[in-house]
Amino acid sequence: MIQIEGVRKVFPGRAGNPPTVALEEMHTQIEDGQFITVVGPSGCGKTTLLNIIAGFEAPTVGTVLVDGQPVTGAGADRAVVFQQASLYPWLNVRDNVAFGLTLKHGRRSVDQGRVDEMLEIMGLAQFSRHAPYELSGGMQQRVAIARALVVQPKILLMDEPFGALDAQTRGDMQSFLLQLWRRLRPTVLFITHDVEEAILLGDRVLVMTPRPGRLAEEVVVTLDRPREYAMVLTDAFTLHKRQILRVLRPDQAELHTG
Amino acid sequence: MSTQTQMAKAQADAATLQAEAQSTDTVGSGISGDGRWHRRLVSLVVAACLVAVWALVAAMHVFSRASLPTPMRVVHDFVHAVVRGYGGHSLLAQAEISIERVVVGFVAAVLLGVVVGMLMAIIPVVHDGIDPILQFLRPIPPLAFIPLLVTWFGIGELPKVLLIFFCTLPIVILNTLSGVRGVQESRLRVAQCLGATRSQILRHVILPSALPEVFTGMRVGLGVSWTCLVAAEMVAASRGLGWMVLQAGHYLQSGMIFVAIISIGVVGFLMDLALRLIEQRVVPWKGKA
Ligand SMILES: Nc1ncnc2c1ncn2[C@@H]1O[C@H](COP(=O)(O)OP(=O)(O)O)[C@@H](O)[C@H]1O
Ligand SMILES: [Mg+2]
Repeated sequence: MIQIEGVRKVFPGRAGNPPTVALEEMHTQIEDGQFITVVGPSGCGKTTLLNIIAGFEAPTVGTVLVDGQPVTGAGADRAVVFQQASLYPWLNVRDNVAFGLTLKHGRRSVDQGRVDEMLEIMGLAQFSRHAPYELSGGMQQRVAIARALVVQPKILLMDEPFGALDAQTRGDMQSFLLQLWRRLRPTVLFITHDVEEAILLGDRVLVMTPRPGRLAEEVVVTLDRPREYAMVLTDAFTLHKRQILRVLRPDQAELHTG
Repeated sequence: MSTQTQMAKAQADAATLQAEAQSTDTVGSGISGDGRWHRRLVSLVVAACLVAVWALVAAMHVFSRASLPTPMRVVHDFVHAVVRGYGGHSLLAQAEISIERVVVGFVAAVLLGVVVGMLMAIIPVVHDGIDPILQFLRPIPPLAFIPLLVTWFGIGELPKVLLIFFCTLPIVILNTLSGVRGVQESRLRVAQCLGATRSQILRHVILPSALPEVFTGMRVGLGVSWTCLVAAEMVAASRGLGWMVLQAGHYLQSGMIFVAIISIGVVGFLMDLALRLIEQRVVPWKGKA
């Protein structure tokens, strides 16, 4: 369980600029195995929130607890995937996926079966000897996800992981991620600026607004699982979308009627 | 060479090498092998034109025969230098001694430069101690050190190798430093989340990430090494390609000057080519990721 308790982040202003409140005091709680999405326009503090949970940055006030323990730094229980795959170009696909296991057990004692299984699940088996830069963007992102999951973290933090992909690949990656999640059941915090993506993937959508960045609304998604893309045509989906856009686009009067 | 132009040149060299790394990529993926062939042809045609202009100007006696030799004269002197030698040693032996000096000074500078650059990037105290010295030394033209080196170490091999070493060292250090500093934060963070220790991050993420820029520094440094070598051999030597240039100049043997200059160019080019091949093997991802 992740508990976010009174977390607030202020960046000191440099060279006479006023400080930036990146994240206003925030409280929420994420149960094990949940798929949580965070949606909001750029600059509303989504990355800041993820960095604090990951332990890359300390909150100005408040604490994040993971299973009751305060987060003080990065740890192997929380894996991250960024918008850029950030693979290691000097390692081939297989060695990238095995990277975490190599660090832990040494090169010779890596559980090759586990690596093989992960490559298989990810549809990367035939590419295991390729260099990362020989793969398409979607494939690279799969390698990044495989590298994060092979060490079996409890929590997967994703910062706009499909934001750089074209619409088709993005759709494929979404359904792929959902399958993976059903199988391995990590707790997922998935950040996006795409409202449809947030609803389609999440059990719960945290809606954030900028200046200062704050958690404005939490929407529990009532769509059944397994999810599929056609659900964007359902009334329930439209309802959720309206609910979220009301918060994100308060100036659009049509959203507030009906 | 003035101090500023020299610094600017080293920076421009580094920029060219970066651009080259990227452009070979686009050539590989964009233009077919056919296009590459065309570009070779253009280079050859331009070179041939230059030689033709040279032959023409020499034949018209615009300059005295002693100052501008004909291409045929240069070929003749070349054969002479290879077969009969110049200054008591064959051209190959002259090139060999120069290459030896460059390789020893250059390799020593790379080994020390990479270590110092790494330490400076990782330990702030080391950086604060060494950086001012580097900034102070960098703009001083290498020629200025030669009289001192000769006074201290005589005219043996040591002062020449030292000169090359000290001219190349700052370039390797600064490129390593910037390579380590330029490591993408996300690469570090991914490793942190996989439970990497500090030393694991250094060895498995920072070191390989910095390699492409280390190679850029090595290639710029190799060019500078040759510049320094020729300067050193012109002042205090009795052998070597640089010495040949000066010696032939004393006796107005313009053909032999050309032979020595062209040899320096060819050897320098071949060494850069060798370094480029090593680079392609060691950091095949350079310019691609
Ligand atoms: N290291 C930093 N120093 C100063 N300001 C920052 C820093 N990181 C983020 N910010 C500011 O905090 C706000 C939130 O940023 P971020 O969390 O990256 O937003 P998002 O990911 O939602 O686009 C922005 O206004 C941004 O400029
Ligand atoms: Mg962001």
